[in-house]
Amino acid sequence: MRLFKILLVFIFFLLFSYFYLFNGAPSADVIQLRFVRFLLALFAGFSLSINGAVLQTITQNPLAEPYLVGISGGALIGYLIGLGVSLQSPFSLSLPAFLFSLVGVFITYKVASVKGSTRTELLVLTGVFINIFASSIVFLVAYFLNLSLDRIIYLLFGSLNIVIGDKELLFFYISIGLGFILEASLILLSRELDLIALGDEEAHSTGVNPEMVKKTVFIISSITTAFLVSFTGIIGFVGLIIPHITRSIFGKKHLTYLPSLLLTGGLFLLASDFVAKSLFSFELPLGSITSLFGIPFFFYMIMKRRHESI
Amino acid sequence: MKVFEVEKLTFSIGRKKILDDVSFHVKKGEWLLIAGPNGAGKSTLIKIASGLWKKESGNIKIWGKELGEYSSKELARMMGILHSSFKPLYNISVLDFVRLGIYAKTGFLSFYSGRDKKDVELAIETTEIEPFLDKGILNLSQGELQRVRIAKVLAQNPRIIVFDEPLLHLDIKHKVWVLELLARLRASGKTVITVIHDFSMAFSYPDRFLLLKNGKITYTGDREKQDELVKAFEDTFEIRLTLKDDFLLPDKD
Repeated sequence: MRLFKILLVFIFFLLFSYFYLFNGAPSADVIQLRFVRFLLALFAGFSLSINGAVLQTITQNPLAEPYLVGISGGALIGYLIGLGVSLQSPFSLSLPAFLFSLVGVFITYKVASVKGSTRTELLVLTGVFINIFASSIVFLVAYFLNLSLDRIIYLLFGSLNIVIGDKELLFFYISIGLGFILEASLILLSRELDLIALGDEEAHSTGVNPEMVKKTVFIISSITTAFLVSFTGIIGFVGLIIPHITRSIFGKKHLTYLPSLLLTGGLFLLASDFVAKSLFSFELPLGSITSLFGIPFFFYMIMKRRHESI
Repeated sequence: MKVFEVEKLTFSIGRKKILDDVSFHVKKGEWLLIAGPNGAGKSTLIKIASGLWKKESGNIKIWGKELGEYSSKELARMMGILHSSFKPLYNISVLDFVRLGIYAKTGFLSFYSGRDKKDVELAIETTEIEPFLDKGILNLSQGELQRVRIAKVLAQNPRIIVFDEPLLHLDIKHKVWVLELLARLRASGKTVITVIHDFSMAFSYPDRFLLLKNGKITYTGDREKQDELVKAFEDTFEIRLTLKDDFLLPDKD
């Protein structure tokens, strides 16, 4: 039964990828444009989901994800500060974004952790406030730098609609490749994460240093999220929905579950992006599509947890 | 041979001293029971002595070497710890759970070897958990869960066994089962350290006692001078006690 489900996801993924790239007999140029977007969608889906998955494990909190723990918000603040000191390319903007995403996650984690595990309400609340703070800065900066409304919407709600010049193309491929490698390196921590999911005490007594694993995870997810935010803006809730669905299909062992997020996360983002760009004659912000699925799911999770804790 | 040695250990949270100048040692093959009223600092002591929390001052030595000089994996190969709280995030199967116990013995990303498999099988056999290997760890009764958690510790095959309140939430059948298991483990040469609330029942098992109150040691010694020992228990817990057939019971008269 599980094998059948896995196969089904895989077939869907292949079909959709083919459709996404080759729909409507495109010319070679169009295929190349689409391929850049396809790679970015795949990376966004994988990155957001795997970061969500590992953050859920290390915070011992099934509601954690890059958006809700303030990593994305922090990254956006850094990005805007970068714009303020007249950095232009998304590559160079990744650096301040990374630094501030670390600040964001550090604040959230410090505020929300009580005796080793994080309090759900504190985690979500702090993350949300960091995001509101980031949005306020977006509007402030928009005034001073004369950002267009489109740009503001894309920053706050995400979009894969980016233009990469021919000169930057190679650099883009290399960066995305490195991003994939960084995310995939989290899979090497599978057994440590399996143990941390049982609690810090249990992990420590079995031979894991929880603090080391947590720091590694925070840094890797901050780097990758900062890179992603610099290219796509904030895409919320993917890191919440996809890990949950994937766990129910692929099981809870990190070694099998983390790699499969490439399929499920990739598929979800490709599908959302397809809806965003082809539902109307104009393009919708991608983050509004993912949030449309994500927020009801978020409420469902909270209700479920409430029942469980009674 | 001193397996475990704690010297002048101090630890505070804020301004409150949780542990105040605590010194004791455990010899090879000994069973030490740590007892004390609620808030005495027992669990804190276990958390610091096992390296989970950082000490403030003092020394902790295992086999004569400073605790800090061991890596996390080295520690786990020597010491199997059962902490009192257990809050897993996901519901994984009992078998997967017990298998995680061999983590410290394996290298980077390497999995099962023949010897590890034997350790896991032996742990499953010793704790008699075969009937529910396929169940989820969150779907077990308290007694079953405790046996499963102990199986994971035994799969580590440690020479020192540290159990923090292993009898908590258990019915009487499982309490006796845990105590008897610990007695067998000690008989096989392991060193045992336990924090046990229900000392009435456990009184006949350990070789030595360490009584704590408000972060300070009120008594440490073996059972040779029995009157003194009972007196120390009475003072520490502020209750009158009598020793009856190896059970240390509240005195109602």
